[in-house]
Amino acid sequence: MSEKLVDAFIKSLIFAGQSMPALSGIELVIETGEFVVISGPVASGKTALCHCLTGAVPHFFPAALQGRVEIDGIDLAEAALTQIAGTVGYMVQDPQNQLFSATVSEDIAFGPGNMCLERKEVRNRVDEALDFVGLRGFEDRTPETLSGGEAQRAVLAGVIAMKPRLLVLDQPAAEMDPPGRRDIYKRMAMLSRTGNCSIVLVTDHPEELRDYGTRFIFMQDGSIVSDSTFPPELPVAAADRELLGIRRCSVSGEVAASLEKCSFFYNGTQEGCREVSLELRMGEMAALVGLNGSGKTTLAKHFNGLVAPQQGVVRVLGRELNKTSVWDIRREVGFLFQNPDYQIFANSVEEEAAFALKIRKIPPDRIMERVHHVLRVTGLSEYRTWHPQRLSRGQRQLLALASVLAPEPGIIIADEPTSGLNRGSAEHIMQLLSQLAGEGRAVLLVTHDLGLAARYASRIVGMFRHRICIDTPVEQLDAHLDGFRSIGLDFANSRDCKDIAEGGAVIGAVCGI
Amino acid sequence: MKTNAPEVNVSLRAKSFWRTDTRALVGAVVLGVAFVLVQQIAHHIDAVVWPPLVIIGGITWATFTGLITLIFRQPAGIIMGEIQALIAVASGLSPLAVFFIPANGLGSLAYSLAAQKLSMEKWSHHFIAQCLANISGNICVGAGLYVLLKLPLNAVLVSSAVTAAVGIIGATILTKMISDSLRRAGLI
Amino acid sequence: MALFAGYKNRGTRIDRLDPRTKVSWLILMVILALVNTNYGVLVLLPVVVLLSSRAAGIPLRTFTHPVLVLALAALQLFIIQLLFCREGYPIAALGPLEIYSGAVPLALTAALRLSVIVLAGMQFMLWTAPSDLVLMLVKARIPYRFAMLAGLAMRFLPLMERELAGILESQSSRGVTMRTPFQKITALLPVTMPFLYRSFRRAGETALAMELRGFGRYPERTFLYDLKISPWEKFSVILMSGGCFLVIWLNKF
Repeated sequence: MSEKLVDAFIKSLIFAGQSMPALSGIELVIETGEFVVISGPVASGKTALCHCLTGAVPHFFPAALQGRVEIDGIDLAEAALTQIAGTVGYMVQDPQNQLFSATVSEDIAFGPGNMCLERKEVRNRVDEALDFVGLRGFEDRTPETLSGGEAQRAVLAGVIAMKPRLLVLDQPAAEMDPPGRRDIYKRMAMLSRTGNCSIVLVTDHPEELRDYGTRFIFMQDGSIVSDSTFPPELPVAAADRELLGIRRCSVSGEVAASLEKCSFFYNGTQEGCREVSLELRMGEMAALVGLNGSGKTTLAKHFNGLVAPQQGVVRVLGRELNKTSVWDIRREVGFLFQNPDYQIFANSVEEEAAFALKIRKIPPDRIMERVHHVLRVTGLSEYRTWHPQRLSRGQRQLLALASVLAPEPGIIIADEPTSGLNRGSAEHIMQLLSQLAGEGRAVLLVTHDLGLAARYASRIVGMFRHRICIDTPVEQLDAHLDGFRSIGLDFANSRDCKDIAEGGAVIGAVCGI
Repeated sequence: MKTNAPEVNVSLRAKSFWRTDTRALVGAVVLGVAFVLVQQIAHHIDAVVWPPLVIIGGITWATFTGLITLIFRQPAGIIMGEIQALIAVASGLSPLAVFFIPANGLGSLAYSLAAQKLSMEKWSHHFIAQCLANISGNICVGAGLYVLLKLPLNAVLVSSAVTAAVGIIGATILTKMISDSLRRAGLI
Repeated sequence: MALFAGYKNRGTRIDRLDPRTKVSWLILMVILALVNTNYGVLVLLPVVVLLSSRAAGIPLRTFTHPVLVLALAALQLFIIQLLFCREGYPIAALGPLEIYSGAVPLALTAALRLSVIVLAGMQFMLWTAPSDLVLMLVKARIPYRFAMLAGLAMRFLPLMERELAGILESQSSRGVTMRTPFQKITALLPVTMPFLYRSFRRAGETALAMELRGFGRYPERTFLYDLKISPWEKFSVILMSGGCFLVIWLNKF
């Protein structure tokens, strides 16, 4: 019989240093056995709600919370986090920060061990959790050797091993491939039905949970705007809807940069790229796709001299890279990295966007002009005085793009710019890149997301085992679907290739590589 | 209806010498590892610019010691320092890191004593705390160099005095700037 | 190249030794290096450390980088002693600079002592599993909340090393030049600040995840494995401890 597990009333929640509430007017009751799926646009309050349901607010994040959250009769404001452990399990987005032991099995045993269970019971729970997440055989693997999807499974196993009554999962499968995600969702649905446990799961792809979730909550501006069973048409935020009209850039002519039979080996032996040749033209957006470790990032790094090939020639805007100062080349080639936090260091959004111009010794009035322009283009004007670390992950990626764009590079390399972002943020970044190509710049997009690549790029380049295997205009993509499938990339299902193990003898044999 | 935090103050914790919550302990470890890696860069710069002295390394040492002790207090300051010293020795990063084992602990303790007594809101407070940390830490390293490595006393004195002086000035500025920035960023 | 190779189970007998035996060996090496003044023994100690590491299946090339760093440190020690040492008698003069006979032996002793401490410390970390280290500290009655931090440091080291390399690449792509010494100094802030922000964020997320998995709920906890020390290992620990006292006794009294 179902019973009330969560009883939350949040009049308002304001994080320290913020003036606007992150949550307001939330009334939420969840019963045992429910599988609640939460979705919503950027900054809609999904993560803040998760923090409240797990006691992270107010115990961990300084914030003013007006209201009360009770789980299984425990008032979270009154109980210490360690006392809530075992009742509530929480998994946040970055899996590597949630793995703290030397091996996967020790990590799963971490929670049960802290609960002082018998060693035999701890081992049983480790085994059960390994089976649940499909990580049997990974017991002795060290966390840093796990792929993103495997690390998420390991974290999930650690949380499940605590046998919590309420599982709060913030994008728990974002780094898994679609079949892996479906498998995990299915198991969770079974767990909620049979395990005397409720699940709250935040996702940007609620449609994937239609068959599993029992309830769908849509959030916007810190409030719950709809709360029902899964509707036939899932709501889309107004901002995201605007992004659905895609404008693909058209290809112009001039060669912006080229690689000619370039080979690069890490430490002289480990293959990075082998005899790759690629021409990147002004006005085009080329998407470089391939399995993990196929050499995409290594290839991209050739264009701004982060990698110097042992064989072959790199030309950027007509200049040979090994005959030109690499610093001069970097003025022309903007490189947007996967993780914006690897570059953001200034005290305000404005300062951060201006940094690349300052080190190029551009006059101050010109700097201000450029900064205002790029912040307007990226939609960050209203945040210009904010500390960058106060922005959401998607906004920080936009800021990184703004600072790449500020010096007006002719060529832009974007390495996994949408990784870890929700759908709205990802589409926004892609729109901007597409627009830049449309303005006549050359854009090289390195991505795992085949759907985004097919929708936005004008050309698709497929890599496999450090070589370029396929290079086709997107209009002729249909004719190459089998070829892409043979290197592990299934465009027909817009399949994300992030977590698929590299290579494999079968694929290699099919390609004859 | 209950209101558990009517007014948000970033420095939520009462001023005390000790702080043993999980965030402080984990912060000590993570920042200890960060400290080793940043010191690697700093030592590289020192080796290129002024091989016999530890100028940049001295500034980063004092900045990390001050910053982490200020934010996470004790025993986090000592844990961070010892993790840095032990990893630096075990990775062969800096042979002289052997002397950081006592120096890091002592420097951090000295900083804590000042930080507990002073509000640490003024530049002068940061300066006093850094004076204590740098002088005690450098005396410790200097004693090690003199007693165990038998380095000449005048060489030890000159080296320790220079490192302490630049450490005090550089780290006073950097500790205050960085802690203010972290506060603005909402990370502490 | 990774800063620190870290522990790897190589399946040798030494790998299976109890961490208390390994720590006794480390202490013996360090005491021998610090107390003993016999050059023969001081030269032999680094060789013993390297050979025992080889016997544990650790490739000698693992020690290449620290040996190079030690060689540089030794060079510095020699220069400082030649410039400042006034022990012994003058043996040569370069203009106003007099070189004394005591300079070389003092520099040599210091260099050898440092070599033993660094190599033995590195050896200990290379052949001791982080989880064994934690269990050893717990056995030494250190509360598990503190003991487990040692394992956490080893867990995050490779991860954060990769992260710092990424930050260096990212800033260099933006045009932060690091050619001249002055440029390297000015680049420190753009490199260190993102790293600090990431570290504070990591510390918060990790601590939250640990607390919600009950870290610190009880004064004790259950570990997946336990340490077992064999009788002959106990005997060797006693022998090594005796050796330490003997060396100190012989050299100090």
